Amino acid sequence: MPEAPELSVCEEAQFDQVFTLHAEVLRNFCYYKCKDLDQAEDYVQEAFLRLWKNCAKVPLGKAKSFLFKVAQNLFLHQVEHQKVVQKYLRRQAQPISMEHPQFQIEEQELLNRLEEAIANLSEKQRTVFLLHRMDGKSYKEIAEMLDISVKSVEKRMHRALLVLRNCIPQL
Amino acid sequence: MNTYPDDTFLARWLNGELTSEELAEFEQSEDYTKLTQVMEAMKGLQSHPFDGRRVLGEIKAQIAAEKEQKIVDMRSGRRQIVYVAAAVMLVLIVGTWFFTRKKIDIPSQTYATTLGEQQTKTFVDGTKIILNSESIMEVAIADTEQDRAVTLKGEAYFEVAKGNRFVVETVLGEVLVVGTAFNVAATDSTFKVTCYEGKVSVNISGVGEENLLTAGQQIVFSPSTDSSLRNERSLPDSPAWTASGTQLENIAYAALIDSMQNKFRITIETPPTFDDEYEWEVASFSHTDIATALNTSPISFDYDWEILWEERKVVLKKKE
Repeated sequence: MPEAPELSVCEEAQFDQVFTLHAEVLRNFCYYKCKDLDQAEDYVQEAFLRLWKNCAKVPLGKAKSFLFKVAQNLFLHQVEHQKVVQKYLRRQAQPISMEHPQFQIEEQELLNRLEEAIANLSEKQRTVFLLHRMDGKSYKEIAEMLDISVKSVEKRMHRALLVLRNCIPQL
Repeated sequence: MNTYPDDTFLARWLNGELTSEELAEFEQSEDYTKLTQVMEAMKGLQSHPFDGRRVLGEIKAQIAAEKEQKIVDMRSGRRQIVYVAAAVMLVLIVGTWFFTRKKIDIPSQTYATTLGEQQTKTFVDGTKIILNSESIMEVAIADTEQDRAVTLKGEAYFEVAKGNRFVVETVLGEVLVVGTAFNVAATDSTFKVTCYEGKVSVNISGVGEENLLTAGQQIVFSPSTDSSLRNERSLPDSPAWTASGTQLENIAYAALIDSMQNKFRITIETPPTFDDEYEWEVASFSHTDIATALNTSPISFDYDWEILWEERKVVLKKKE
């Protein structure tokens, strides 16, 4: 019985494929955690470098979870996290609006509060919330990325929403 | 303010998983109005752009740079000695076994695992074999006309694709199958076969009768008493040891250490300052080998270690 050839991340084509599929979400994942875009990109580079170095040991099917685990560890190892609160997201370019100016101001204020509230969520809540809302990841996928149960993801999401509802003033 | 029946309610709402009654009730609440506004506002936000091409380029450049200066780093010297020691051990084990086994003529491929290591092999016919730690198997590379044969010492789990006869030979007996899933644990002192799917036939050396096992049945033979014991029990889909990693939730440091000690059959020595009670929300470790396990576990956040292979011991040291 000759052994079936296994696709390996040691091959450049597979490595590139893994990068195309996962790098952007990985960058966002790191960013949501560490609050720093440059740092997030460094983590992505480091994670892929380690994947390359361990390519013989990491089967293709495990590459994704390997990357997220490395990124998570890099984040946890980082002793001093940035204390500066950054804006997590960009605003969409404003279309020319026919709405009443007063309404537009209210909308901007809501976005301000929302951005601040997201930045102030706990790192765990924020990661879950933004991976779901901005990267369209399912609870199951997020659970796999973070190596926790789906139930834990749902709990973090529930708590995140409890915090974020306060962006809206009392009616 | 709303009270919720459980602590995942809002997550389920966001995912459209509420029952129609739950939803109808929730829609009446103030939180519902607020949260729909929040979600609406989220649409005005977007992620930062990601220049994948540039980042990949930088990674490739770094890989190229590291390849160039692959000079032995003095710091990694000790670790390399460990690798060399492991390799020497492996060669010795395989070598000894190679020269003491009975000769077979057909070309074959040998696979061996060291302590704590597992190997999963898939073969062209679709057969999958997971070799547990400290085991050796030799797979005959015959063409498909012939029997498929594996010689095993140690433990392995087999998922055999349908086809010709499949034989697992061990010191104390052999297992014959057609297409099925089963586990064989074979040392010099015990021979244990567990059938997970289909049927297998077990022949114990020197005992004439054939033992047919169906799913959920197990046979254990020990030559010291020259007796075999049949068990019947409900089994999971595959043996527990085939799971590739351990994941634990809300676990104290001490229990995590215990779990690793058991998995790799080693002793882990902790410094006096070690906080046994400290609890991790989530802790996991790989089963690949002890070094990887330590690296992937939360222990690596606080401690360095030294692996004393001969004594099967790991000594933890608080990071400075």
